[in-house]
Amino acid sequence: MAFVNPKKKEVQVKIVYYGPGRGGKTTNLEYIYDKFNKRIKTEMVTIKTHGDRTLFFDFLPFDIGKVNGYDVKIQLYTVPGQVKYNATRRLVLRGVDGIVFVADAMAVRREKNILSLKNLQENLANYKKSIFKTPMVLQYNKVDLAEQGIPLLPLETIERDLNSKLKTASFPASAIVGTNVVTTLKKIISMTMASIIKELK
Amino acid sequence: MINETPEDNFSDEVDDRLEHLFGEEEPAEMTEINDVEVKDYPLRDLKTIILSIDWEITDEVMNGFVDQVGAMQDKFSDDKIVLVFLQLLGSLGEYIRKNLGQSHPEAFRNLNSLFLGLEEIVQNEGLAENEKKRILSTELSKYKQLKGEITKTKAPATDIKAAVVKPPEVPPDAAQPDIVRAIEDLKQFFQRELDALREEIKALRDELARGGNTSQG
Repeated sequence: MAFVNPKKKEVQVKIVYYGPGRGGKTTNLEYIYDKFNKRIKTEMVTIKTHGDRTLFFDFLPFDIGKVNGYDVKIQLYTVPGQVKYNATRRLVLRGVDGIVFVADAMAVRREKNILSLKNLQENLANYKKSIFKTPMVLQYNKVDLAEQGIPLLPLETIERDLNSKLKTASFPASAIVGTNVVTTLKKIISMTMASIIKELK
Repeated sequence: MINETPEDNFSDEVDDRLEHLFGEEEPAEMTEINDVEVKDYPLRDLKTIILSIDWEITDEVMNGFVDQVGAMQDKFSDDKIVLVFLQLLGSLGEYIRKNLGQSHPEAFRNLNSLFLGLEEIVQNEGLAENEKKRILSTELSKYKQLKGEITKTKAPATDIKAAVVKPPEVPPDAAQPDIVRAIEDLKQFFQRELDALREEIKALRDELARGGNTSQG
């Protein structure tokens, strides 16, 4: 449940970008930060390994302004995708309100996507949360590679693998180019806010 | 007439705020993965392999990489600049293949950077020769810097030069026993990890000192 401070009239919403390693979670946040940092007036915090991968998490907070009299503060996080950092992933998921699952559309990554989604389900269960009840958007990243003839998973396959049970919003995307990055972000914020309002009632 | 509920109003307000913040023209949406026109892209196989190099670096991937670079050297034998790029990639690939997870962490960044430089040159046919040389020179400097760092830190097992040039013969009595070398390798590995962790802890401390409150309810 989001952190709501009735005294300060403030709502903090935590959105986590989850998915397999090198899938483009950090690139999503970097695109948002690079393109909109003058408007969101904030800093992005990134903790990488010396090998340039996310070790702990990326963090991008910003305010969307007043909604219904409340200041809405959005906090975007990524998790490290590397398999061995599951404890960190679980930690970052604590108190999550909405999730963007960034799948890698490359054909060679099919199994890793499925395993990562399963891992997400298990880690949410650890906090007694259901993957089916948590607001979630699926993003099929790296579709720009299709132009170069790099084998990608057909949309039907990736949908069947990841979204046949979830039946949630999904977008093909290219985080590096920016295609559908903002669409994904807007969708997850809208879904999460709607869910929070529903819970508050 | 449709009656709007308070939830609808709230949702409209959220959408308005998001539109205000992010309502700029986005890159063209791509809704179909399947029907994209494939451009002529000579680096396809090499890029596929580079994108496959994950945290778990396998012999299979690295063998494929080195083979692919070799095949491309034949293909681009008339283009000296591209050839140098491929030689650098090949050298770095050999180094990573021999050291796998023990490779210098910068080696992967360097590999990606080299590939991006190569891609820029191959994809822009109209690029001036001077510009191509400038790109190559930048990448060459990075490569040399990495090579220097590897030599300086006595990187494990194989350095870049040794990967492409046959290493000098070591007299049997001067050779260290395997166990000593392995311990030395481990020491260096732990030292690098510790250094990296120290930097990360420092960054976290700095962040905390700035008073960033990221706690969740």
